Amino acid sequence: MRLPAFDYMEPENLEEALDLLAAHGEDAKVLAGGTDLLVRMKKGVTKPKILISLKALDDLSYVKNEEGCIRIGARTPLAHVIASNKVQQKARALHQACEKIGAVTIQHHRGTLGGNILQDNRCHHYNQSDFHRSGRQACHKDGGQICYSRDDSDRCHSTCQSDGAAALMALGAKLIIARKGDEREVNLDAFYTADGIKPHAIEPHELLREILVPVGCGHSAYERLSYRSAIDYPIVCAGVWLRTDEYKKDTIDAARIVVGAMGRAPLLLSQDAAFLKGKQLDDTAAFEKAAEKSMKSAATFAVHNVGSTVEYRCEMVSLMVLRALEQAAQAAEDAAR
Amino acid sequence: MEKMTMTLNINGKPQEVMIYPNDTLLDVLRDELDLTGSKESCGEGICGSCTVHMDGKPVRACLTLALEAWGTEIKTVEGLAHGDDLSDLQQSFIDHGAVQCGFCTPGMLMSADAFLHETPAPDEEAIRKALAGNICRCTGYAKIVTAVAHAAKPSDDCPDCKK
Amino acid sequence: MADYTLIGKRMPRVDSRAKVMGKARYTADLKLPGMLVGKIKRSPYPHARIVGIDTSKAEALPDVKAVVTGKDTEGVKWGVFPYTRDQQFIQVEKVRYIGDEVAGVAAVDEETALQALDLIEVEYEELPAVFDPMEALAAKTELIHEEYHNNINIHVHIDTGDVDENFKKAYYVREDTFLAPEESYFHAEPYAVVARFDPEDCLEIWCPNGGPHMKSKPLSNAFKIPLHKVKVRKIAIGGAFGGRSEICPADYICALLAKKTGKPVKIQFTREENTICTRQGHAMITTHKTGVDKEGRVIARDTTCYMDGGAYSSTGPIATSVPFLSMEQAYRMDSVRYNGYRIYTNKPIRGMIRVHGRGFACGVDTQLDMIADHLGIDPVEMRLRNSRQPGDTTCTKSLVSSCAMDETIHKAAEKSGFKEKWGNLPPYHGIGIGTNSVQTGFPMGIRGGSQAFIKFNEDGEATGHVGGGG
Repeated sequence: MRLPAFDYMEPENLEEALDLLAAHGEDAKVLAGGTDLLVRMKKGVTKPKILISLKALDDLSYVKNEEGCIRIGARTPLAHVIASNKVQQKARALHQACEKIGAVTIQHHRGTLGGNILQDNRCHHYNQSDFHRSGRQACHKDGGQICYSRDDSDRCHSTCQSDGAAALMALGAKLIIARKGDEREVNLDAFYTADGIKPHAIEPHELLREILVPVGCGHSAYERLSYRSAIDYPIVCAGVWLRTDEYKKDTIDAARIVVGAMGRAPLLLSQDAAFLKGKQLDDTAAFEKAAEKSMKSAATFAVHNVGSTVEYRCEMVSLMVLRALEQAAQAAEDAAR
Repeated sequence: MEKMTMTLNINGKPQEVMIYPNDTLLDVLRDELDLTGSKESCGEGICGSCTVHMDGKPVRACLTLALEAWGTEIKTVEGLAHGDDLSDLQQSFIDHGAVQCGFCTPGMLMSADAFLHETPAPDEEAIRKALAGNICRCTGYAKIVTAVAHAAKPSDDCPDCKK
Repeated sequence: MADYTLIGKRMPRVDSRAKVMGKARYTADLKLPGMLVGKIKRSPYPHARIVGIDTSKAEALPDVKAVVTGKDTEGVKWGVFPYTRDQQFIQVEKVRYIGDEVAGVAAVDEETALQALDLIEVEYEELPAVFDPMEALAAKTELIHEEYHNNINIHVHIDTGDVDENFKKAYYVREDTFLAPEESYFHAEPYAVVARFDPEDCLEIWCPNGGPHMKSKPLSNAFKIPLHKVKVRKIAIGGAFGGRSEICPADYICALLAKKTGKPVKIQFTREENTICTRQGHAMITTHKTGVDKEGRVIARDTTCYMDGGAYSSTGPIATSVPFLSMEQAYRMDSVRYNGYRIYTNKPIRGMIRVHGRGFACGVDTQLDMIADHLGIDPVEMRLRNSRQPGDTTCTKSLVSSCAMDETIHKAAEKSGFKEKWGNLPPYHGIGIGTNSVQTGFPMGIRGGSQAFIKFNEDGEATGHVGGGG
């Protein structure tokens, strides 16, 4: 399958990359691993005139341990994130999510963590070839006025199927986004806009530089369901994080539950997680309740557009959340021993 | 958009190629260098038929720009054998009937070869995980998994292992 | 058994060495001097009238060497039998499924060919489309092919023995409906074809090819050239599963482009084209009414099978009989009635999968289990009581001169541990048994058995020229 034509630019350092983005941002896309972008270009759903390659920017590829946080360069290959002991020990949800992204031979060596966070929202009706889409009216995401996954909808219902996003949001991660002469920090939950057409709060002249994962205390886990165990995107996933009370080690002090692949953005379910405050780590009934609540919260967002049925995916939300909670609780108990 | 000249390091040899920016590594291997062992089956990174090594790591040639391969060591299925001498893995694929239509075979071999370099004595689960990004429509995978397992460690009980 | 040098020995496949070395050549790997890249313009609509095609812009594009439409053809239609010739290889009047061929281009490279495709302007008038065979039967909308009423492409009717009388005599009768979904083969190798006319004006063609005669005859017809002027070459195939045993319109379009340009042309399908524009397996809706005696022996069966055939007839006339033939050959029945209908829908064309059509009468074994359950008979025993025996003459008067159905059932039950497992496996696990039989090499003029010419060489070895009837 032929890639459409484009100009290729290969900046030698971050400054040069930001200069190029400042000059060409609207016409350009940033190329990191390419495992998402090049597929979309082959299908004709995105048609950049210019690709700005991060190939030479080795200084955007790192996993650094600092006091209270892990800093990960946006261009770090998933294989390096998976291999990091610190990530495995302190940000287990992220480790688990990265392991499950695509397949070893597709994403893990070329694909990057930044690329996974920035992967575009997906929909069975939209992620099709030019030929397929030419025989019908354009949908919202394709520049039209209709939605094929929810009748009469005035907006796009494409789904965020990023594994990394759900895990990192549960971990309370932040992004460092650079632009020429400036930089800003944004919480991941504010970065996902819930706008199916433009799902990320990043401007064309900006570049995702770093992912900052706080790892003070707390335990996390990630669970996902997909058609095949490899290759495919999740059709439902859950990232959770639990922190126990400083003195009462068997009591939950704070929790985060994030459900992914069910809506236009990963769903940070604060109220459902707040229910767990004060509950014991071995309170299975409380976890089941929280999972049930999560399912009800997430169900309102799902549409039939990434495979399987909405009913099945909704049912599986509670299972994914429950499993992730049990894992995180187990990790907390192990740590307390 | 201009055609440019570039040197790629393929199977241990520098190769001068003329490329466009939108040429994938797979386009260049197949069309410019006539290394047609790497196959295009889906063209979108799902099937694994185009898997090659880039600095020893398995990657999809269909989702790698040729320009991005500059400065790396590329190995394709044509580089697995030493002249006429097949690698143990290649021979094992033949002996265990892991080759049927053969279209997925080059990709399977490249994924398995990279994996065995990192994991010399793998168990079945690890093999299945390493090959999970390669799709085969003929074999049902069992013979491929056996071929990889026995390439690393021939089995006395296996009628297909060369004694 | 005698100690043969080959039989009973573990033999490596002859082609596996070339395949593990990446040396085996598949169609897409071929390069001929001066070869052009061909692409096919396809309909994005499931059902539409072609109002006009303007190829002038595409033809004006530099490096485009030829554009072909239905006007460039001899207007010959293809179908496996004379009475089912319903498919032109490039459509002229209307398109009947998403992917139907409307034009072809040849250019010096892929990018130019793709640009040319975009420049071909086709004006369509969209027509209502039907996707469900039962809806197609009842549809009041424009027929997919005007000469086929109710969108019925083929009706196979078989009625032997006294079915109605036997139902009255039966100890137990039940009627059930079963569904089998359509299937796509998903060959690893996307379809590809290379064609050229050689210096003697013979058409020479390479493609994934499971049936050379089903390629050469239609090509000879379509070009109105003698059969001996069509050479279908053998080349490595990346999976066929029955789906590459028949002419593909791309074969013809590629050859037509080669003829028009005087150069070799290669067409390589995308994964999408290979999925929607090659053959698929028929979906089936089958109702079996079966009557048995006290011992569970089938004395009467009335089967109605609706097959979703897609847009054209393909090998449908044969396909529509095969569910019956498979059932009849595997199981004894005192009397049987069969009505097989192949229905047109605006979907990809269904043809062979493994065999012609579908090699099983969807649900016949499941229903046998239901009957066995009602009568308290073990599923293996149920098969044995109904199994085909050597010396039998089937309802439709075929002599079964030899068969080993009983031994097969016994051995399968023994090797699978059926008796121990039946009803004793944990939840979500199960074991079942079914039998089936598919004819090969039947001399009905469709498939001519197998032949081999063996030439003994001067060096004491031999060269075999073999042709399988499939």
